[in-house]
Amino acid sequence: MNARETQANYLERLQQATGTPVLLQADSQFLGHATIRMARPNQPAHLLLYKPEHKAVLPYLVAYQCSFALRSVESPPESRFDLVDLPSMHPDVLSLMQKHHRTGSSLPPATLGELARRFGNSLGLQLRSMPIALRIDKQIYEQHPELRPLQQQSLDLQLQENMQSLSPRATELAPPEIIRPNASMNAAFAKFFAGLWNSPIVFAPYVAAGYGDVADRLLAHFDRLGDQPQQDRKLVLAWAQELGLDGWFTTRDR
Amino acid sequence: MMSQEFSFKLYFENFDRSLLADSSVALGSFEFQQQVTEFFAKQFAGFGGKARVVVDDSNQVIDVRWTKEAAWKDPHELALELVAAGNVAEALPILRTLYHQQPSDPSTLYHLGLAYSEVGLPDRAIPLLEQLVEIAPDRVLGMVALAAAEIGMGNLLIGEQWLRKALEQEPDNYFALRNLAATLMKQGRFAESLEPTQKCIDINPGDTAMLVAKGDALAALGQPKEAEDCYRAATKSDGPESLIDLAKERLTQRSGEVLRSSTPLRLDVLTYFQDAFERFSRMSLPEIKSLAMEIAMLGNQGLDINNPETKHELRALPGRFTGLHLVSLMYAAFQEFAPQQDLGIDLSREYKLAKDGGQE
Repeated sequence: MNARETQANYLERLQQATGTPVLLQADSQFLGHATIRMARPNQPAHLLLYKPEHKAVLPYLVAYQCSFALRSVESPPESRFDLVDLPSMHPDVLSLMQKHHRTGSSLPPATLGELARRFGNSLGLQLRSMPIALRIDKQIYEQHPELRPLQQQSLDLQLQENMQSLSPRATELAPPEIIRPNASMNAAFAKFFAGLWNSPIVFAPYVAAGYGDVADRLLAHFDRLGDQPQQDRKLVLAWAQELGLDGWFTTRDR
Repeated sequence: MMSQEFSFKLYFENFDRSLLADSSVALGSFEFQQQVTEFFAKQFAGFGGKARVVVDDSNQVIDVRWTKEAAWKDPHELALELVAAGNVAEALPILRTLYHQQPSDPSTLYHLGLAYSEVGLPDRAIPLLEQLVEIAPDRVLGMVALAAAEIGMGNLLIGEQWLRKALEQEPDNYFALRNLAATLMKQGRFAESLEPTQKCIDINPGDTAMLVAKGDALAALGQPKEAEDCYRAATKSDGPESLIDLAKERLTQRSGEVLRSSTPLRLDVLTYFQDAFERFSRMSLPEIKSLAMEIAMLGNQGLDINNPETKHELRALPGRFTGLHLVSLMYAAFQEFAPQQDLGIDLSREYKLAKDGGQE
């Protein structure tokens, strides 16, 4: 099977599992690489959005997004879950941001609230998706050798983007309580692919910045828990606890 | 497999200083910048990439960029190659990162521990090697490395215990035996050191270090003749050169001791000195120097001062000379231009007497 056939196969699988077709749509305004918006009951199709710049790796992005959706759709209803903010999350993040920018900040005070909201939401999104992303990428790597070059091309970009969490700019923008969990998850992510590709260099920046040990601990949870979808909730909660985010986020049945 | 350029920036304060050879180095100092640059350059070059590191002092930022080189080498393999070639400091950042990759990998633990010991950081080596011994108790070389690190910390008895454990598993392990001999010697337990030393020599008869060690132990135990045999065997072994020189030094020293102890005053030496003075009176200083050097070179082969039968010839002087005659000539010659030089033999009394015309 070539990459295009694999892409078609994934779209077909998701359609069969949900009874709803999947539409592919390029969107230059979209901020990420790709995402899937699952159809609500009154909508005729799921929508898989991707940024045109990433069209070259589209078969991988489709496989990834469909796998993510299938993981949820095909799992037993009792194991489906959402990550939710606890009431203290947004006020805590805002307060930390205000404290961080109390003196010498280049940010206008009016933007702090918006930035705090975005940082808080991003942390939740990362916590909900990153540990599961590793499961999915591993599966794609093992089951689809034909996608490996596209997978690496796409992930190389993501790894490079993630390294921004170590940058001085990130340190200026956000307090350590935000940066640390973000960079720690990125470190685990990098370490995982460093091992998968036997390319330790992608993990090296995190070692230099002192994130080697926390990456080890996060991946230990990943290894300890099985890769069945039923374990995903435990995995997310274990990462939340390891990162000290369990005071801001929890899970609830879907 | 890498397909693009990567880059990242770090504030000085966000760099993990425990990764540096000297973790106490002041943040932002020249040494800090130098060590950080070396760390990245070596680490990234080690992984088959090309790195550019800019340590921006004014902004307190480290800027690293790298791309993949065509010829990629497995980092573990490369680290082992560097260690084998003696480039331990270069291997260290690679091993350190590999350790973060696979903290329980026995090979990484072993080589990182060994590397720390090699660069004089046994305190960092010990926890790694303890972990190795825990997860791979059958890895005898791990125990030997741990023992060496403990010995490096001055914990001779703990080191000895690890070596004995290693030898329980492999009674003929050469490295364990060698280290055990060394630690027993360090503790002054010369009689006990003879057994592991001899075993090493049985396994490798050309082991210069063990031949010298056995000689030292025997000398300390009051067996000078047997000690001399060991030193002589060491001078005929394969080396290294520094140890062969040490063995020769011991032989000369030993000869001197014999000379000093055999008689309070050697009249033959007095005669040789008088002969020397007579000859030197017809020689220029450069000629005397040249004579001294020629005898010293000959002495490197080992001059036997107790055997009057063996005679030697010199380029600088006609005739044939015994070992003791040559040593006396050399001693007298050195007094002419470098009296402070330690020749490993004390003929000062005879020299003074000869110089004073026989009036002690």
